[in-house]
Amino acid sequence: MNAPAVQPSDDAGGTSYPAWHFRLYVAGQSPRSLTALMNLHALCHAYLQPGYQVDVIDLLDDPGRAAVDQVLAIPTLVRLSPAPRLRVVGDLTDVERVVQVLGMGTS
Amino acid sequence: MGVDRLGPPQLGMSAETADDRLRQAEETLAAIVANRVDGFVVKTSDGERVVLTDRGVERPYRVLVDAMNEGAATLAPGGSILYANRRFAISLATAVDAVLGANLFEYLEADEPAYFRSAVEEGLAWRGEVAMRDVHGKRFPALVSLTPLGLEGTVGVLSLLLTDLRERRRADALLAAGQLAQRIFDTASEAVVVCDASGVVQQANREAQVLCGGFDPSGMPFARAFELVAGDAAMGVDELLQGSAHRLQVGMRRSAGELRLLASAAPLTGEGGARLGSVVTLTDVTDLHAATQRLERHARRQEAAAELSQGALAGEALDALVRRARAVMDELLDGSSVRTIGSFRKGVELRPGPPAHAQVVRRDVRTHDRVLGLLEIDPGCGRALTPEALVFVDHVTSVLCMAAEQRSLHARLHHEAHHDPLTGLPNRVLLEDRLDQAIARARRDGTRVAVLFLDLDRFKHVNDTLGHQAGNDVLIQIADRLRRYVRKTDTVARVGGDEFVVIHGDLADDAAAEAVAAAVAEVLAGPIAVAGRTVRVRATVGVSAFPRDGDDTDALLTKSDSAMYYGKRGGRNTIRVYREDMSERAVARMAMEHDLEAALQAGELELFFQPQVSPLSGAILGVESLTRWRHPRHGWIPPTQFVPMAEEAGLVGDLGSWAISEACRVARPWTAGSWLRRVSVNVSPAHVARPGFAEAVRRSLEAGGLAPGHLELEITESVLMHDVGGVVRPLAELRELGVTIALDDFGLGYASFSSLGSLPLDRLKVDKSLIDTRSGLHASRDNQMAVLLGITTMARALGLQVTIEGVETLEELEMARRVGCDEVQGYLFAGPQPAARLGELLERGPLRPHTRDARAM
Repeated sequence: MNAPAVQPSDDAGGTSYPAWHFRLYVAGQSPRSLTALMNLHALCHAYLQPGYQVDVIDLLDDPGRAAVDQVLAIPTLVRLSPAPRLRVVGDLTDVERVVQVLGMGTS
Repeated sequence: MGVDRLGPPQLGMSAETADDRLRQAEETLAAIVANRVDGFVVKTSDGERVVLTDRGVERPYRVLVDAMNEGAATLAPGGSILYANRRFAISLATAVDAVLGANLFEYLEADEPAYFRSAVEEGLAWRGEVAMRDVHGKRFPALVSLTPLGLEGTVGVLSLLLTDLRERRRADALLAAGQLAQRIFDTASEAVVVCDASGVVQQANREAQVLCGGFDPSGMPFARAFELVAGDAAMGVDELLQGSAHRLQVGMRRSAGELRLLASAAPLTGEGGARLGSVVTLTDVTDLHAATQRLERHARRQEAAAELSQGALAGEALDALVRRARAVMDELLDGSSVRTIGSFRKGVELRPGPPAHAQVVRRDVRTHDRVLGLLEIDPGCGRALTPEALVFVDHVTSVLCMAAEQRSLHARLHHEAHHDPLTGLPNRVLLEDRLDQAIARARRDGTRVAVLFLDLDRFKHVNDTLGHQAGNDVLIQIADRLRRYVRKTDTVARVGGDEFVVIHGDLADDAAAEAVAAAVAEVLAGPIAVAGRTVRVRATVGVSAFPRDGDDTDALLTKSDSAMYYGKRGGRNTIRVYREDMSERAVARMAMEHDLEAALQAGELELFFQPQVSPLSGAILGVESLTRWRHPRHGWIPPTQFVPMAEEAGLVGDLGSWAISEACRVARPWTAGSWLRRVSVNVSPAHVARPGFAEAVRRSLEAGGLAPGHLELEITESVLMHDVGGVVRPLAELRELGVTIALDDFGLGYASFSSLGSLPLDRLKVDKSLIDTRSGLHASRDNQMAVLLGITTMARALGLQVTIEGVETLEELEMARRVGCDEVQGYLFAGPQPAARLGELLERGPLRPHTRDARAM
């Protein structure tokens, strides 16, 4: 769980980068963290096939990294790309709202 | 790999708008209220800490609210503040405790919108800008959002978030600064590249795109977009990107040649110090680099030229210097080929062909009168030498020319030390050397040597009636006749104004000597054409022979001189062979010597003082004391006459001691209150070599009360002819005390510069014959200047002061000034003066040259 969960993109060349790039802040295997991770994968699978990338950051390992995105509550999801940077706090259970806030439906 | 798309450097990270921040806070709050979070990041003094909770939302809510950067409060229906965080209290300029229980409306300006009031009272969601007032009554704008909490049993309870818009103004300013930074980024004359933490280019400005060949390198690894070669292998480009190096000189290969770049990197960090990437600035310093290289090369050239001149001063041979010069030019002229033409020795004629092409630079290595060799520099490939390179070439050339001139001057000085300048004949020094050799040869072969001493009869008469120039012509013609007459192995020397000596070796018997003398006299007797007239010059010849009259040089010369003297008394134009009874001259002298001894006792001796003055100001810097003898019958007798007598009579010690004591006594009062710093006393080598000399001088100084530094001892140049050993120690001992030592009559030919090293010396007194412009001793004025300049230059190199004696005309003073001597002495300023008169002169201040002919005085 501590290792970044990376969904490979379909691009083997490596010189182009996925259009969708997320960073998910979790706290070990706390219930909300697990829920958020499962929900995120489900969402991405449903809306963003085939190219996306998720970096999972475990703040129990390195709480200092919370400062990068000014994370207060766990779990928090940050959309890095496409710009602008957006965030959703919580376990992503409210699917409709998440899709709307992050603009995944319009992909 | 995680790749962050970053904005322009640092922008967009800290300059979020107040709206964004408020939206983020709302989002977080909503998630908490909806119970969708179970962990919080709390800032502590040790940094961030993660707090996990599973105990409902109240506590996490509190924790969160306290940690938030926005003001937050919980409002009961009607506006009572149930809870507020620190940020909220800070905006109102008070403490949290003071806020709890208060009503929100106390902090609202009266002109707040009515619908805000109703939203609070009815527990409805609302968002907008309101005017608030802190506890001091200070008004401030705030963005407020109201959210119904919707918790069980809490109808009408609102959560309030407040963003202090005074801060937003600050944020706007930040934003403006960010935009400015962006513009700077876009238009910077340096290449600016923003890389992420993994070294991939995120942004590159216009210059950076130009630098990497006209395309936008964004998305490429930095190292591939910019192929940099670090000049120093120990520090690479990787270190630069990783932040362990900040500045680096790098090269970058372009089709047009290598660019020199100065690369510097600044890390990009997010909040909390996380490294996000770096901003790399590349400045083209190719021109600067070339300039630095030019400067370095210039310094190396200067150094090389300086080393070369040191070699020149140290006396290195000219051809060795030329070889060195060629080596440094090979190294420092950018690959030009350097060639030397000629031998760089005197008298070898040069026949160089024309240069290969116009860019070839040629320089003469020459003395003032001849070219000794050429330097030829071919820059090659049709290039021309740069102006700086030309300067270097000229510098090296001038060092070589200086060395050539010096070597030639040295050779000339050497020649002049051994030859008479007017006739070119050997002088007394060389004569004695040749006679030594002739004696040695005769001793070995069992033959005889004749020494002929010739003195021209009535030569003064020629000078007086026809003038100096004619007199000189006569001397030159006589010298030529003598030179032509004698065999190659014989020697003719000029030993005085009209005195010549001929050495004739290989004689079978003594009678032959007389025959030779007769033949020589015959040769001289022929008529001489001079100044449009014909004169006849006759000579008186004294003859001595080895081994009959003596077995060393001194004896043979003295005896031939005596014989000549006898001949003069006997009526001139004769040849006299030495006989024992001719030494009666010595008998006459003995009478005088007796008188001198008496004079010392009777106080007939008196010191006169001749000023030594600055050639520029005329200030009297020193005085030379001269002993005068007032003879009861013969009147004043100069030291040139009685000192040799004193030497022969063994009185030289008494005479010298008297002179030193007297000088110390008389001069002491003068050294106070005037420029006078020195009184000098002539001492003879025989006196100095006597045991106890130094001690006696020390006692004289004490008795007279004179500081040792004010006493100078003058010793004649002829000391170097004899054993120097006996005089060195006492002189060195006195010099330790502060007494200075001068070498008198320098330039008569006894002393060469190389022999000066054997004496402890402070000053050279240049013999008056060298400055003399009226005797015709010198071939030309230029020649005379060269000799004087040579002497003063060499003296400087040996750390010696120079006094020129015998300055009698303004022209001679001008020459003395031009050669830069320290002091002059002579009748132009003042002759020897009695002590009382000198005291008056000192009081009167600097001396002025007499405008009348000094010699007439």
